[in-house]
Amino acid sequence: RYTDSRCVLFRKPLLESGTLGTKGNVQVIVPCLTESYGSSGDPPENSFPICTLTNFPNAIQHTLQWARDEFEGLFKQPAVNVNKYFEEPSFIDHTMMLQQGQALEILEGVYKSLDTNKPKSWFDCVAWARRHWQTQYTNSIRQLLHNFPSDQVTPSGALFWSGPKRCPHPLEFDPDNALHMDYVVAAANLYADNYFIPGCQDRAAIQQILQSIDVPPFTPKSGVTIHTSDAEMEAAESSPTRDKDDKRLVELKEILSSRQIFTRIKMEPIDFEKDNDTNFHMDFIVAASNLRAENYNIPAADRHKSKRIAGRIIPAIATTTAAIVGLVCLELYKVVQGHRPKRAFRNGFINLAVPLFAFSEPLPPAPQKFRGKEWTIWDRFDVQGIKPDGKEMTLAEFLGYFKKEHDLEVIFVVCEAWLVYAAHMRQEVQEERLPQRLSEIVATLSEKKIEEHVKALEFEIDCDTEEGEEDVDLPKVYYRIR
Amino acid sequence: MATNENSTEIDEGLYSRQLYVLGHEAMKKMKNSNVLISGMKGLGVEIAKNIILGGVKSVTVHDEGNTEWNDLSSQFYLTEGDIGRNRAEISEGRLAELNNHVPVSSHTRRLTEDFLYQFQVVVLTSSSLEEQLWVGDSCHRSNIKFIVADTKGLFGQVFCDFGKRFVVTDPNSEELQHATVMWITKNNPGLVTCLDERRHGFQTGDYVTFSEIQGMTELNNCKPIEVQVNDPYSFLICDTSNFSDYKKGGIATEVKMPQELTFKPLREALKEPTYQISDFGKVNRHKTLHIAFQALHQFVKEYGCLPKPWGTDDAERLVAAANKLSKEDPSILNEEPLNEGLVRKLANVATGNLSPINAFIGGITAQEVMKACSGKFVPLNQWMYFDALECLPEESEDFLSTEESCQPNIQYEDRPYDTTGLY
Repeated sequence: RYTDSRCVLFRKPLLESGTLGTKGNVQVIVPCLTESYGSSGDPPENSFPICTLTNFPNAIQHTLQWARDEFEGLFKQPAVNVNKYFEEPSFIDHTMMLQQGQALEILEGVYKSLDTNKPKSWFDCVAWARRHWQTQYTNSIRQLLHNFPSDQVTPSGALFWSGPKRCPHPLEFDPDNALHMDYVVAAANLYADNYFIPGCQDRAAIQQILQSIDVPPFTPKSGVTIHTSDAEMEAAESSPTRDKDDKRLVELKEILSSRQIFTRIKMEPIDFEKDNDTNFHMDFIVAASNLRAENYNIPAADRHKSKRIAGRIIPAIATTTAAIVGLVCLELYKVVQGHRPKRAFRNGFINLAVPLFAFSEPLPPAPQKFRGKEWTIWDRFDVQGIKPDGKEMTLAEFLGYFKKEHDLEVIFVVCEAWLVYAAHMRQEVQEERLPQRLSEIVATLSEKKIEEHVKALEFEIDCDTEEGEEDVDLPKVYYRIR
Repeated sequence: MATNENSTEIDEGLYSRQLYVLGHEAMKKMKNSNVLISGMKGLGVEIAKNIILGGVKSVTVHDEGNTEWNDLSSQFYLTEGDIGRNRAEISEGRLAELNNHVPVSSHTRRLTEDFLYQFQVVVLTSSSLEEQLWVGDSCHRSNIKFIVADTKGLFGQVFCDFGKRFVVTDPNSEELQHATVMWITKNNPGLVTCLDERRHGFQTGDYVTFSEIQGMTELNNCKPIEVQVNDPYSFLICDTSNFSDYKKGGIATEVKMPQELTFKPLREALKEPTYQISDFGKVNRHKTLHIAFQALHQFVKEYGCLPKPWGTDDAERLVAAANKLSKEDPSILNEEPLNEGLVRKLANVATGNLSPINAFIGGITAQEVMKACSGKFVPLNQWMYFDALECLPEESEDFLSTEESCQPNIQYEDRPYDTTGLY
């Protein structure tokens, strides 16, 4: 988007292209001739509803995303927060300003990392992994089934567990099950990495350790809220009935504020790296996802497929790349000739697998109208900011210019994020700014000098409209300062 | 030096991103294929590069001719210092560096039928029509997949012949479609209604199988059933009137059915062409180009060289040849007029050698080679023509090339000029 906006501002042709496996596209943007890159957008990528991910997965994509989120939430975020807790004095205060659910999650996480879940040895790491396995693949499923038994019926009389909601079953840990062990080995090692504890890959030794680990028994509780849809969840979040959470948040703030309780440590946040086969990252994702898939009777995905989905890999092949590059260069031939008619250019889409080739003329820029004049995204008010006497215009002169040359009563002048002028500004501010040069005002507001190479500033203006006139957009202002 | 690989393991690290396009099965079949690419000019080297990066059992590059000045404009492995030396020999070493898993060798003698037998796929890029025909016949007889690819200036041509019985095992790279079943009627044909949260995504003629159905369990893991779409959320299947009652549950999953295709050999396909349209905005150009490319072969055979760039006389000669050919075989144009302007343009630019055209046609051709090796994706049926004439200034625009402006540059004339073309 940034490149597109710069190309429009400086009127540079843009050749855009991309490939995805055997598919590829070329789009050519020619100033004043075609629409800009940003004029047409791609359809938004669908993200999964939260409730689907947390309680009602029905496809391996859901369990893979869930596993990815687990990775971030177990091995990255808590470490990041613990480090911030020790390094940033204002960490707790900043956290308390966030939405209640988020603040609770963060502080609870920091507390657990430093207290309840803090490992002192490799044994502790394995124990943590085993217990987390129990939580995710046994206990939480049993809780879900407690809230919604397999024969549950909705108010309308239909079965609750039907259609997209697949009824899960809890798993029972078995140290002889390769998938269960894969999980424990990966999770324990990653957890150990967080705390700079040396890990271990000896599966037999780990199985030994597992024998002496205590797994607390679990009874599903009543009164636990599980949302069945995102709409339900959002409604609940905006309603102010979270006293229990409030108390806990205050409690945590108290505990964590008195820092002396916890010995200062540095944790190592782990950044997901899909292409390293020895770092346990993909091992964890595959095991975590396939275990959850087993809970919900979803067919498992092998490592190769899991990596593609979880790693958001773009499939690539040299043939498509070569073909698309060829097409881009053909458009380049046309662009460098200059002054070609629009019908000479071709946007292209290909799919070598079908095979399919489709070419089309680029679309013209969308016309807009103001006071009988037509303009497009390529047009602008080209203002020479340097007067004949060599000095730059003042804000007052700038406003006067628009009144005189274009019969426009300018009421807003904006540069990037800063409000340079507004007709409703306080008298003192106006009196201060009107005699100032525009570049001075921008430099002051942005708190930095305008660099030597900058030849022009871009302003957006709005003007006063007469009675009955529609409030429309105006072209941008290209204000030359050198 | 590359070694012939004996293991069936695919190097997942190297081929990671490509595996997600082709899949393990297809790449294993490519690993068992020896490919011959004849003609090591700009197009040939593009095809070779793509195939070698893709990973096959071996690549042999063939050319009888030596490097010329004209080659340097798009054959990226040839340099000024290589002028006079065999194109295939020079390219071999540099191509081999692209991929340790693929042995590359060169061949500089005339092609013979015996020589062809070691290959699973043969690609010709700068052969005469005579050579294309006999090699095409031989390959078709011996079940060797045969491809012709050619670029002339701004024009491109691709032809595929994968034999009498070619099986496409997987027509596309899309994930298997599946839909959640909500109800199945007992009827002939039975109607399957899916969850209305999203469209089922099937098309009439697709095949599906079922799983997890309760009640009408006859459908679970059944042999693939052909689908007839009823609406975006339901489709008809087979006769279900004698099945058990449907209770609940079920998932319908697409089954990709192998397709068997038949290809005509070149000799036949010249007379009875089937085309892949490269640009729906240029309908019917392909018919003229089909004739024009053949006329170009005739021209070269008669005059020993390609038409002079922007030479008006040569352009008219090519038009005359094309008109003669279209009268000999009226079914090609099928009552449509020959686009003489297009033929003239082909004459004007035929000596041109452009890397973007070679890259585009080379990419397409290499993908066809991979299809030939693996049965993955649908091959070209059977001819494709392409042109990028919009790159030229239009007639009314200021600058148009003339014969004079396209004479070879003086400074090159004192270099030894090897004229042994392949014609």
